[in-house]
Formats: sequence, structure tokens, C-alpha cells
Amino acid sequence: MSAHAWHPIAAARDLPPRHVFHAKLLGQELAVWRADDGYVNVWENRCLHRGVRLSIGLNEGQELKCQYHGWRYASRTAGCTYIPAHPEGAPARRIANRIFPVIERHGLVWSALETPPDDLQTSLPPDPLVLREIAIDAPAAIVEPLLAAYDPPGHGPRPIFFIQPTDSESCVIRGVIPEPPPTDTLALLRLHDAALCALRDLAEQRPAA
Amino acid sequence: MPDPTTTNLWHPIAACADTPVGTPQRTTLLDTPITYTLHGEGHATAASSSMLPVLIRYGYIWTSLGTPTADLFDIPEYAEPDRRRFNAASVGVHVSAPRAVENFLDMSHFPFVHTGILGAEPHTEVKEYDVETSAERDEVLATRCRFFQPQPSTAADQGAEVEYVYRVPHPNCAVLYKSSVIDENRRDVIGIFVQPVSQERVRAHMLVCVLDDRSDDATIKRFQQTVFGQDKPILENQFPKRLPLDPRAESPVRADRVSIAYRRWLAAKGITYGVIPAA
Amino acid sequence: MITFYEDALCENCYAVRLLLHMLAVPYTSHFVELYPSRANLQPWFRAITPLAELPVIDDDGVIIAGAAPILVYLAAKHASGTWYATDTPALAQVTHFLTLAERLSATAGAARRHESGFAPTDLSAAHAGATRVLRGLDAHLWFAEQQSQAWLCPTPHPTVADLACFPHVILCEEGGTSRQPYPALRRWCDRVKRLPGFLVMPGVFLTAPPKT
Repeated sequence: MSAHAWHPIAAARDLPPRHVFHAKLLGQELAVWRADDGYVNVWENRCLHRGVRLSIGLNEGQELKCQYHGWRYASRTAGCTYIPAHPEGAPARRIANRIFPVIERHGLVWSALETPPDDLQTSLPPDPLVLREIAIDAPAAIVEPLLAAYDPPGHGPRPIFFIQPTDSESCVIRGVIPEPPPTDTLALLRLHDAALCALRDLAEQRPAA
Repeated sequence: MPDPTTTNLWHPIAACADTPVGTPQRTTLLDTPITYTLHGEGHATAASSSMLPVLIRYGYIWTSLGTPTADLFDIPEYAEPDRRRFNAASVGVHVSAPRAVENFLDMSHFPFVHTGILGAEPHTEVKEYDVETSAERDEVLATRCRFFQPQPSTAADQGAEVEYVYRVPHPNCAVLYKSSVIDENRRDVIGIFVQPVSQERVRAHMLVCVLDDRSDDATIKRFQQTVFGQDKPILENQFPKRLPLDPRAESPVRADRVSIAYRRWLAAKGITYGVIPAA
Repeated sequence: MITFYEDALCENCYAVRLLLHMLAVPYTSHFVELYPSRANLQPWFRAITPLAELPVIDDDGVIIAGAAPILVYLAAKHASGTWYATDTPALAQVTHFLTLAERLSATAGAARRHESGFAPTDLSAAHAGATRVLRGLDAHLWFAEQQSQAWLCPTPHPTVADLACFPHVILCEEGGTSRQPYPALRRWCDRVKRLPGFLVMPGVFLTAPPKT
């Protein structure tokens, strides 16, 4: 679970237009947003002006606007383009929020805390069936062996699982089914969802609600 | 123990009007459980593991975990009999006291956080204002602050360009003076007196001391509660929760001059509680 | 003309206020401060409603107390084909979420009142209870999106179910319950914020307008 490895942090469908997705990877909070041209931005979840979360900000299509003082940051560069308190002229010096590397592939959005040396390596097809993500209040190390023993319900195809380490106490299971059967995907999604929720309850050592 | 400066300050712990007389109450100050009792008009006691000094000022009970060397700062306007004076709110906020004070001093957020009340686009420009740190009065002062406000107060029925003075006479207390719509020669006074429960949690007490001959208390309170209620989620989404005193930690602009002076002033006092000291 | 007894910071009052504005039903506000003065416990208010809780409406003599009853009354009276239910399965679905909203008030709401300094509570029990409900809502909304549905009930139009739950969800972070683990819930919040007639309250931010 290193800072230099690619981890999935969102599903592609988690990023509709004009929305800001709140992600977390290895303790680092991230603001993830899709610009109107489709580009996915992964930024530190912290406006560098006064430290307010960018995940409560406004995705205006080409810029992210901070909720506190309305500072605007451009897609791709995260460079500050407008400071409303001083509307005359461009921001005084080069101000840009911290950005993280991003790959959108296989229906998921991948990022890393430090730019990995290699491209993302998976054997996944371009467009698998993406299961609902399951956020678990237990560390990845607890979840890993449970997931390794996962028995696909209904004798269906076994999903490929990724464990996103959100922080030291929690993680997210992201499963995809590479070759889903052509019919009744909803039923398949529900079947795995129920099984994974049971796995979550086990990992958290709490009885099912 | 917190740094000596913080320990020896007077800190607000309750509004008298919200405190039942004669019944011991509990609160927390600087991570220390405190029991206090309001015995009647102008008389209260407080204790942690031992008795603590207490004073009642501006409608609040103040105490200290150390030995305050000076009297509490003065607000002469509080004595003027025609003012509406009360505690508008005492609200828990999950942030440090200095962050709460700095938000109170900031005008740039008015059009975005207090939209339609204290500011509105496109009137976002923060014009040049003056900042002074007075060693003699031991306070930070920002004067000649001006901002266009759609609804400056409950006494106003239209927008106006309002003049502000901001004063920080105490590391965790700030007072603002804004032009009254009722009397152009006088100013409304609003104070934030922040009780540091812990380094990253506070109770913010808001003093209202204003001129208003048309609104009832509940209306004035609701106005202030609305405004502060809008600031609360911003403060709770700010990181780090403690105020960084290193000037390179965040990116201030000219509109932030008073906050730059405030951070320097805290650093000069040797304050380490609720802040991240400069490297 | 409806008289609406409300408090500016109360989630259940916000739910009613949202529907009044979205239905464009005129009303007169009568503010009753809950905290710290507990003005709702005054005799004059008890005379109107013995339970002495907010919100309450007086619709030309018809007095209704409680968010769910008021939402149902207003929706059934003004917009039953959209904001309420027109068949029995839909009735049950709406009612399910009205009940869930009460559970949110008792958990996320209790945590919020505790953190603001107003009311003691078992904070970890409140958080655990809120997590249970929010997880369920998030999963429900994710599967709704899979079926091209945008709202809590499988209807093309939002219902009072959405308005009953929204205030508790959107203010839960004030009580220390993060929304970060609930992506579908966060997308639903954006959709609610874009509804015509939507208005904020302290603690609620507007979202960006939709892509045109």
C-alpha cells in the first residue's frame, strides 16, 4: 500500500458534471471533479488560501470555486485564476493547489500520492461491470484475508477486487466483474452487494443491523 | 499545560442570562473541567481542582486557570443605556479559537458565506484598509474597512456601504464596530468571545451591543445566529484546525492584512495553544 | 394564510420550509427559538400544541404538528400527483422514508445538538445509529441511480420523502458524522439543491448550477 502505487479512489460514474467527489487515500483527503470537457481533476482537498475543503466547493465546469472566499482554480493546472477580493488583474503570484496524478480506466478513477514510475497494470477489460463500492471501518489488513476467502454468491463469476486504503482505520472495497452475463446485471449487483455488506459487518465485528 | 500567555488570560465560560442562578454548572476550559455557579447579579464562583478567579463583564462569566496580570479589555459602548445588549448565541464549533477569531475579522467572505446579508456579488472587492498593532494598548486594530452590504443589520431596510473597525484586544476575542443605520455618528458593536474548550474545539459567545429601535430581541438574536450559523460549517471544514503561524503555511493576499497582523501578534505573545507555531 | 411556527436552525422546520417554497404556498413565519431559550415550552405555545415541539402550521384553523404530518398534509393538499403518493405501494415507500427521517433526527440530529452545545447525548451511540441509516440510504440511492431514478422513491418527481430526509443528511457533519463515505448520498444532495424553490439555511451551501 505505498504512496507510489496506483489505487482506485472513485468509480467513473461517481463524477457526474458539476459535482465534487470527496475521496481519501492513505490519509490524504482529495477533491475529485470532472470538468465539462471530461478531464478528471484530483486535487488536495484544501484551498491553499485558508485551508477550507475544496470538496464543499463549486464545480463550475472549467473551474472549481472555493466556498469561503470564492477563489477560482482552473481545471488541469489547479492554478488560481480569480480572487474576488481583488478583482482587478490576475492573482498576484503563481498560486496553485496541489494536484495528484490520475488515470480513468476500466470504469474506475485511479490516483497516487506520488507519481508512480509505471503505468497502471491490470488485466481488466475496458468496460467491466463495476460493483457498488463498500466503505469499511476496518483497516485494509483486516479486510484482505476476508476478501481472499470471498465466495461468489449464486455461482456467478468471481469479481476482481481492489482495496483502496483510505486511512489506517478504514478502506473501500472496489469490485469489478470483467465478463458479466448480458442479462439481469441489477440482480448480480445486488447479490454481491449483500455478500460484501456481510463481509463488512464481519470486518467491523459488529452484528448486521 | 497551555503556554503561559494563554493560561493567564481571562476566558469567557458562560453568558449570565443563559445560566440558572444558584445551580452549579459544568463546562470545559483549556481541556480542564470547570464547575461554576452564578449566585446572583454580578457574583459568581468557579473552580477546577481549586478555586479560580472570576469576573462578570459584558453579561458573561469570565475565569482564568492562571493569574491574569491585567484587567479585561474595555468596551465603553457597553455602558450606553440606549443600546440593545445581550448574548446572541453560545455555539460549539469544532475548530481552534484563533481560526474563529480570524474568520470574524475577515470581510472577503461576506458575499460568499453571508450572501444577500453582509455581502453580494459583484461587490466583492476589499478596498485598502489600515492595520495597526499597538504595543501600548496590546491590541490589533483594522480601520477604514468598507464593504457594501445588502442587509447590514436588523435595523436596516436597504443596502448600504458600511464602515467597519475591527479590534482584537485579546488573543481569543474580537470586537467589530460598524456604522449604525440609526445614528451615523455612532457604531453598532458586536463581539466574539471565544472559549477554548480544547485546542480544536470552542464555544463561541457572541455579544450584541447595538442601536435598534424597531426589532425585538428575538429578531436581533436570530440575525446574529443566522450569520454565525453560516460561518460555522466553513470553520469546521478548515484544515488544519489549529491556526498556522508560519507566514509560508497559507496564502494570504492584501485583503488578509489584518489576519497577517493577528498571526504575528499571537506568535509574538508566545502562544502555542490552538496554533501551529512557526518552524 | 398558513402560520408557520418555526426555528431558524431546526432540521425538521427546514424540511417544511423547503416544501412551502417549492410549492410556492404563501405563509407567515412565527419564530419560536428552541435553543437556548426553549421558547417552545412557553404556555402560549403549549396551548396551540400540547407536545410543544416544532414545526407546527396553522392552516386557517387546521393545526398540524410535526414535520412528517405537515409534509404529508401540504403535499396531499397541493400536489398529490407529484410530491406525495397516488397508489398504495407508493404510500408505503414515502412513509418508509418519513420514518427513516425520524431515525436520522434521533441519531445524526442528536449528535448535532450535542456538538453545538445544546443537549447531552450518548455521542458514540448517536454516531453509530446515524452511520447505520446513512449507509442504508447511500446503498438505496446507488441502486436507484442504476435504474435511472434520481429520488428516494421510484418516481420521476421528488417526493416529501426526499425533503424529510434531506435536512438531517445535509446537516449531519455539524454533529461529527462525515458524508465522505456516502457518494450516492452526496450526489442526491446536489440534486435536491437544484430543485426549483430550493433555499439554504445556515450550515447548507448551494451547489453549482447544472451543466446546460
